[in-house]
Amino acid sequence: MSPLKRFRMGRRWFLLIPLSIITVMITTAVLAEFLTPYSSTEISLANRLRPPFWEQGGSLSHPLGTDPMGRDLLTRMIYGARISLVVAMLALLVGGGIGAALGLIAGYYGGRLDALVMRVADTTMAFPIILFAILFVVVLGGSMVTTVFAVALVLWARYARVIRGEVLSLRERDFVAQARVAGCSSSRIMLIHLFPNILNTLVVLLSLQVGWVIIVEASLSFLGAGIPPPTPTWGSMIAEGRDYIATAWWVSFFPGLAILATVLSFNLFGDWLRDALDPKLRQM
Amino acid sequence: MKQWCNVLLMWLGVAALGLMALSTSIEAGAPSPGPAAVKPTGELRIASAFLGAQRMIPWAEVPSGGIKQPLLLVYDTLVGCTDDGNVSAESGVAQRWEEAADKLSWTFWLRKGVLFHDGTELTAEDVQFSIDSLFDPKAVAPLLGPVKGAYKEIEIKDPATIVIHLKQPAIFLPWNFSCATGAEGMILPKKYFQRVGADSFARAPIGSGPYRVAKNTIGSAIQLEALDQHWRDGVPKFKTVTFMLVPEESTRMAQLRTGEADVIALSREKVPEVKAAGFQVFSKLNDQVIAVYMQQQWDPVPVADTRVRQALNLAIDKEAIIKFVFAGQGVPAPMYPIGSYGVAGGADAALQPYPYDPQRAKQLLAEAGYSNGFDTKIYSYVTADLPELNRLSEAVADYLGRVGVRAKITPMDRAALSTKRQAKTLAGDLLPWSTPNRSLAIHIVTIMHTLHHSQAMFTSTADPALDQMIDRALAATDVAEVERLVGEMHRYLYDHANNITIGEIHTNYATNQKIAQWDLGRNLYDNNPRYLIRR
Repeated sequence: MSPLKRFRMGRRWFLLIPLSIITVMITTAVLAEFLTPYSSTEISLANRLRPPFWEQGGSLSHPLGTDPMGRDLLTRMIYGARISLVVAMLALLVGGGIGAALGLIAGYYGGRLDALVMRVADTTMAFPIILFAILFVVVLGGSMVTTVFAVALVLWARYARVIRGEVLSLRERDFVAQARVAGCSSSRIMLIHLFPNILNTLVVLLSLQVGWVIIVEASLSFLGAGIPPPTPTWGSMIAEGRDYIATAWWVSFFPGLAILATVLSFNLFGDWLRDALDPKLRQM
Repeated sequence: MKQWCNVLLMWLGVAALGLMALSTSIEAGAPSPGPAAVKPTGELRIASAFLGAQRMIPWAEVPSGGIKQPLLLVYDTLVGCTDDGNVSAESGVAQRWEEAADKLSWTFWLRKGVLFHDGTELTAEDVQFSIDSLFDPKAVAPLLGPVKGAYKEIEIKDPATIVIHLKQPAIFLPWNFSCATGAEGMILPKKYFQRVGADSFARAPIGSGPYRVAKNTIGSAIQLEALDQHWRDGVPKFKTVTFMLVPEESTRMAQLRTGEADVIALSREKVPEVKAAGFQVFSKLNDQVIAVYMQQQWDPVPVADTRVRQALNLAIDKEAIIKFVFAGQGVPAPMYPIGSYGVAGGADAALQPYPYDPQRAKQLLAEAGYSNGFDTKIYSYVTADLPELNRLSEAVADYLGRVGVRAKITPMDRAALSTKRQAKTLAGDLLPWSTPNRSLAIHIVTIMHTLHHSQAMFTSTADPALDQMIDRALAATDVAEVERLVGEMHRYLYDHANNITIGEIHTNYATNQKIAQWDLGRNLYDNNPRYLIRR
């Protein structure tokens, strides 16, 4: 077997681990109700702070232990996966959609419109992300909707910049000139001719940003500015365990581990996807 | 030559003998040095969860912000107090006081020889100045109670005698100016204050207490230095006492372990951990009463109905909350804001906490027309001394959910909630809160006025019957009558379930071996810091 073939096969094996983690995460998030007999929000004070099953005092009825309100930690992590995925997907759809649209328009038309969009994007990117999201959530109140919009509001600028750069080079290509000569409207050119050519870039960018969005959502929840209790989110679960690090380490540890594994998996998957779809995007 | 040497040696021997005899006589004749003079030594470092705005003027901020502790060491009060919350003629500036027969004045005879830190003597002029300052519009004097409306003027009879004239009787006046209550009775030096002005005084205050302010770093620490001798406390134990502001509990615990702090405020859950590490824990038992307010009961909201309020009380397992949320450091209570201390002030000792009865709760809700429950909000926040409050909100929301009341948990900080309470924009919402356990009848009536009189800023009720009881108690001229009315109010609140009462919880402090004993006392808003500095 040639060294290059061996390398490519090794990379496939390497990809299996993050793909497996992502698959497990998505499956548990979708099938949460069927995977656990417990409610994620109902408290059981007498069962509070039970350790994982391998520690003294633990049991297999609560494999990863319980939180300060007596709720099963594994159950809350499963439902928390759903929250993280939903927030991430929605924020990426909204932020990515708005950013891609604005980048496409700015790159195609250029001129003052391009300058205006890019200046607004620059300002958004210069603002401290967490502070911006917290202000947004504090003014409008914490909920899933406001968390999604808060994240999307800081996300769109990245997409706008990258897509705008792609469009700047594409609009000078022959197929665009031919479309103009053929009498296509600007909107048709953007949607039918330009958009399919930026799709690879958009998909890679989306996959690379999933991990970042999960981190931002977890950070907002940790700071108390995300989805309010009793809805389980990994970030708020870490915050709940902050006072118990010395005596009940599992409360913060396992949600933190879940964030680590998920974000790493999405980042590795995004790297692979970038290489597979368009190696020229390695600088992203 | 040999002869001269012999003579020289002889005289040297005589000289040596003579010196020995001389030194012996000197030692015999010298007076013995006696025992060494006692002086304050060492430093006591106290890590507090809060210290308010650290303005060291008694009327500058509310004592519940934690500032009363250092103030008690810097100032003396007109009327002294005992550790168990009574007034005392032994420990205040006044050594005697008397109410006039017509109840429209009080005469106070002041102790002579009490000196301020600048060496000037505390006289009637300083007392007049200090009490008059309380009625300045900028002054914060929340615990004046009925004295506020009754005060007319102070007359100086002589440098050691004052008469406080009133527009109407104020039978508890000595308590309002004692350390058993707040900081209202603390005496300021008139001449020094007027010479330097309020701002300069706040930076370099002078009192007559056993300690003077050495350094006050806002947001960090207040460092106090002991006098060599104090008229009441004798020679203070510690040379310096430093109050450090450390809001984060894990930091305070780390400071105790490393020796950076000798005394720390401690939440209830951490008591076993700290004891296991070999430190001592001293508790002010049942110090705070905890409840969930039902706001604006006069509005057309579900909690306007007595049956609904009773149902909410029955829906909650108070024993479980005290045991698991407050680490067993407390007991359920019948009705906030009156706790077990209040029995001494007339509260009804026969009342029992509402039992946990979710079935009865559902019945009452159905009778009130809420068989499908209703939606409401419960606010969630934490304070430095009550880190469990957010868990309390979650627990209460969960219990209410089981009887059909869907309480949405809404995080919001306490300052914002206070503003909303004042603005009356919380109709029907639920709000966890705490108040100190009070033993004195007038303290109970004062808090009842604050929380339940329809004219009060923070009231959650508008009940004419309750207003009448409170007004009668404030105007009463007989202590027994006030205590009787306290019992009546207590039963009324209980029957009408005007608060969702959880219970009374302990306040704890952990110390290292520097503190062998500590009686935290029963005075309002303080943990008896004078006990720590006494020999």
